[in-house]
Formats: sequence, C-alpha cells, structure tokens
Amino acid sequence: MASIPTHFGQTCTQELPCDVVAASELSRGAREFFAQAGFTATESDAWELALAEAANNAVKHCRPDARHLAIRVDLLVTPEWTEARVTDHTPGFTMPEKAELPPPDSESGRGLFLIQNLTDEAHYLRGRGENCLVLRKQRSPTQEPPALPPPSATDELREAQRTLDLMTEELASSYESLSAIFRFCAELQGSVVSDEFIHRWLDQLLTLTESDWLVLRLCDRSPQQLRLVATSAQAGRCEVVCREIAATAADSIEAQAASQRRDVWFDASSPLAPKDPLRQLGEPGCGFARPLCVNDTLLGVLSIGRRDGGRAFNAGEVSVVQTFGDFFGLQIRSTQMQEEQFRSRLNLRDLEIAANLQRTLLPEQLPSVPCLTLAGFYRSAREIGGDYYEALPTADGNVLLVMADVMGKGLPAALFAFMFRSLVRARPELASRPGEFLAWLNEHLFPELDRAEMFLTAQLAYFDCQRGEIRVAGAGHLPMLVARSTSEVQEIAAGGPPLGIFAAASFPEERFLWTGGRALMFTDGLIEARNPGGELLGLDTVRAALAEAARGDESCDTIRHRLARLLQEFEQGTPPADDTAFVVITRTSAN
Amino acid sequence: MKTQSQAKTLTLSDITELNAANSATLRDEARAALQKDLTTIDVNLSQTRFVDSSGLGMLIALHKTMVGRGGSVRILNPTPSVQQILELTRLHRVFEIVKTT
Repeated sequence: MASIPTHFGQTCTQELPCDVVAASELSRGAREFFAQAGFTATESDAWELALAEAANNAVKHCRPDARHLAIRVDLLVTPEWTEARVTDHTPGFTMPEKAELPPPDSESGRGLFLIQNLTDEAHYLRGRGENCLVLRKQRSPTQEPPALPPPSATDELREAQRTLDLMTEELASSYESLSAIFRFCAELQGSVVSDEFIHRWLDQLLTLTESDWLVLRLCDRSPQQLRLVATSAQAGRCEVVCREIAATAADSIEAQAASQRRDVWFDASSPLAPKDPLRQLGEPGCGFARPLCVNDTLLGVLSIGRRDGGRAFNAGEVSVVQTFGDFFGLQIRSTQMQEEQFRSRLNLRDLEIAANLQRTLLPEQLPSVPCLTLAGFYRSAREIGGDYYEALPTADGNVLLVMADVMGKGLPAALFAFMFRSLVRARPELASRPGEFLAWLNEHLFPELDRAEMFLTAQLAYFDCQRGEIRVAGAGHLPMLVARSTSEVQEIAAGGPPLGIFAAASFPEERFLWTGGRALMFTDGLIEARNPGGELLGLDTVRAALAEAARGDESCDTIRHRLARLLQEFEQGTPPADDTAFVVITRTSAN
Repeated sequence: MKTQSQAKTLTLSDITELNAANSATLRDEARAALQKDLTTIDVNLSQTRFVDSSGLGMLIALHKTMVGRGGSVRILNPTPSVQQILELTRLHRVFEIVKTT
C-alpha cells in the first residue's frame, strides 16, 4: 500500500479485482497502512473489519456484467479524522439509518451493522453503474501521529497527489453544495421562487457538477404537461428545446423520469431516442433526468448532462444533483403553497366585493306603488349569485316589476346584475313596453355578455293600474304565475331568448287584464330547491301553493311566509345550490 | 486449521483468520471431520486475530449443525478483538465462551 505525507494528511488508493481473497488482502493491507500512520491496535482492528465488510459486499453483490471492473478503495487520514471510500459496481442498496442485527441463528446479515458500529458515519452514494460507500471516523484523541516517512519516489508522489486531488475535489463539491443550499435558503427567506433564483440556482449546479447543460421543466399548469422553465447558462442552443412535452411522451427521458418517478440515464450505450426533445440540444452526450417530487407529488423534471466526450457522472456528483433537486422541489412546492394561499385570499376578497355589490343591488324594501302590494324574498346560496329584482314606479303612476338571474356566480355575475340594473334605470320611458325594453337591454348587454361567455334571464312586467292590465315579456325566464281569485293559476311565459345569446332578438309581450288575485315572479332557485332525497320542489307545487293562497285571499306577506315555509319544510336543511328570489304581488284596489 | 477429536468433542484450532475468503472451506473441513458420536465442537480462537461477518456466519452454521444433533459449539479463549466482535453482535449469548488461560 502506498503512503505519502502531505499537508492534508496521508492518502492511499488501492484497486482490487472482484474476488473475496483480494478483498481480504486489501483489508489486511489497510490495517498495515493505518498502523504505519500511528493508529492504535483497536483503531486499526476496527478499520480492517469495516473495510473487509465493505469490500466483501462490493464483491458479493457485484453485477455479473461488471465483474471485470476493479473495486476502488480510497483512504484519507488527517490528524483529526479518517475517511474511507469504497466504490462498487453493485445494483446498490438503501443505507438504513440504523442497521439491525439479524436473528441469532442467521448465518448472514451482520455486515452493515458492523460497518455502522465500527465507524462514526456511513453514507452510501448511488450513481449510475457505480456507487460509493463513504465511511468516516474521528481519530482517537490520545493519538500522536509518528514522524511521517519521506516520499519514496516522484511517481509515487504524483499518484498520491492525484488521489488526494480527486478526494478533496469530491469532498469540496459536497461541502460547496451544502453551503450553496444554505446561502440560497438565507436569500429566499420565505419569498417565492423567482426566475432569477432559478437561473442562479441552475448556474450553481452546473458549475458544481461540471456539467455542460441543464434543462428544468415544471408541471405547474397541468400534471400531464412538462413546461420548459429554464435551461442552463450556455443557453444559446438550449433555446431550441421544445416548450412543452406531454408527461406520457414515449420518446422523452424527461417524460419517462416523470412517469416512472426515477432517474433515467442516457449515454453512448443507451442513447436518447431519435425524437427525444433533449436531442435538440445538439449531441447531449451523457447524463440523466431526475424527477422532482415532494410527498409523491410530481413537480417537474431536472435533466443534466455533459456533451460528447465528457466523462460519466460519478456517485458524488449524482448525489449533489439529487440534493439540489430535492431541495429545489421543496422550494417549488412551498412557493406553490404560498400562491394557493394568496389566490384563496383573493377569492375571499372577490366574494366580499360581490356580496357588497349584491347588497346594494337588492332594494332594502320594495317601494309602495299605487295599486299593488309587493313582498320580496331573497336568499343567497353559499356563493354570491346574480339574482336581482326591483319595482320601479313610473311617472304615469304605474309600476314596472323586474326579475333577473345572471348565469354563474361570484363577482362577474354580480357585476352583470349591476350593469343590468343601471340599464333598466336608464330608460324609464320604455317601462310600458317590456318587449321593446328587453330588446334594447339585449342590444346593450350583448357585447359584454358575449365576451364573458355569460347570459342572463329576465322578466319585465308592467302593471297599468289605470287599465287593470299587465304587460309581460321574458328573456329565457321562467313564467310568471297569475292567480285570479276565481280561477286556476295561469302561466305567463311570453318572451324570447336569454339576453346575451343573440346580438339582436325580439321579445314578444303578452297583455292581459288583471283586476284582482295574486301574482308571483321568481327565479329558478325556487322551483329547483331540493329535498334530502334530491327531488325538486317543482313548478306544480309552487302553483298549488299560490292557488291555495288565492282561494284563502291571503295577504302578500302571508303568501311570502307560506312560500318561505314551503321551501324550508321541503329542503329540510339541504343547502341550496342556487340563489332564490321571488316577489309576491297582490292588487290593492281596482282603482 | 487443525482438527482433533477426543471423547465426544471435535476441536478446531490454528485459525489465524475467519473471513469471507476461508470460512466456507473451514466449515466444510469441520463438517467432514465430524464423526457421528461427536456432540461438541470447540473452536479455539486463541490464535485468531480477525473474524468478519462471514466468519461469524460459519460459526453459526456449525452451531446449527450441532444443535441438530443435540450438541453445541463452544468458543475457546477468543483474542480480545474477536471477543469484542462476538459481544458487539451479541453472539456471546449464543455460544458458550470458555476461557482456560
């Protein structure tokens, strides 16, 4: 075994063929090396056994196709601590946090337990084709290192220096990646991940791993789509990578990594598919795609590589990419959660504004009008809707009753209801011609409704007190129910399409004499109320209730209470899906 | 490794190492020397400077063979480092450890 003093300490590298005899010789040789470096017998014994177990595992579990490859052992001794690295070609394993002893009669399964108990730290870095077991142990404090022997030969020195360079480089990259993570953590301080952060992050990773290119995709819009978010600093050629790939794309290793939730590698022996989007980078050489997941939720894919001729990634570099990727995934998730929170706060604010708007829409009290008594009812569903009603006395002593229902909920619905009300109030001279009024309203609301892909239904009823006549026109609205004291309930369903469907539409009106009785205007929330069994209240039930009220000559308020009770008893606590509005109308006198 | 039978005991001695490279061979040699009437194997580890997990496995294999015939394996005079490994892996509770010196 070679040994050489440097200002860092002593190093030793040995490559052994894949057999147990060579592994035994190696651990014996290591013991001599440690003894020469001034270790106590106990320390040397412990290292001999730990290395024997590590080397035996590397031999026993070596992949059949890799038996011709050497197993490498690097030793580094400083005055404070000792480190050993055993690079194997096994399929790899997951290092348990604390290896347990097997049952006492088991003939195997004690190797990892011994390794963990004989050293202070044991890490297993998994790479492609090779893995690295890193063991560390503090030096015994009473130990005085003996005078180190002088270098024996120049080539020995060069060999040892090379080994040391490799090891310190790997160590340095681990520490650098850790310190980079801490630095970025401090910078972020709970703020969201910005494009600038992502680019600096990727630049750092590119430098640490000596890679040529990086591609980051996130599935932030849909779990089925991987959207290009960033490419490496040497992005001249990366700009051509396609913007979006389906997570199911068969030709893409990025999609494979996403769907299989594992690292997918490529190199000269297993090249990228001819149509793999990463091929647009030129000759991608070798590398891998790593899925970014947090708690089984896929957030994106990070791909990294070296161009043709570049060396394969070693276990230490893979570990850096994995650590960076895991940390980055956590940052992305945390940003997403902050955004979701922000959005839900926005929605709450949106609802608050809509609720305020709606409160101003509905009259606190219906006005008293000459020949009618009115009683209105409004109940909002869980969200804000766009139901609206109003009674507008006209200059000629009559009254226009308006009932409307905007499709949808929330702020847009409330805004359209508001617009509708403003327009209705703008043209009082049209009140006596409800059909024409609706046509005019449609003409003025159509552009906005059409753009928003919304519509509204409405009903206008002009009560001519002098003539005892009602003129009704509807726009896709439910019929008005009219009960005369002595006859059945009539449905007045005249009208045209909802507002916002056609740029120009006509709205026929119906006129009829109404000298007494009860009438009801309402929105669909009334007849579409549901009971716990899911049944609808229905128009017939409402008609029957109105007929009964008319027969009993009930007052406006009594009828409102009757209908409200009917709703309550029918629903039995089932939460309403839609807003409910109705206005009960009774004729006060025949004038 | 030396093997010696006396009364109902087979003694194994002169073992420098019990490791992955030699434990299977030593186990087979011991079993080959195991006559029918023998009920105890004494493994003399006084010369043994190194035992790894494969060596421990070999001792357990012999122990199972002897338990199968109503006997046992005893460890004679293990060196301090080997004694330490037996204790670390709690196998000092499985084997009777006999110290004669």
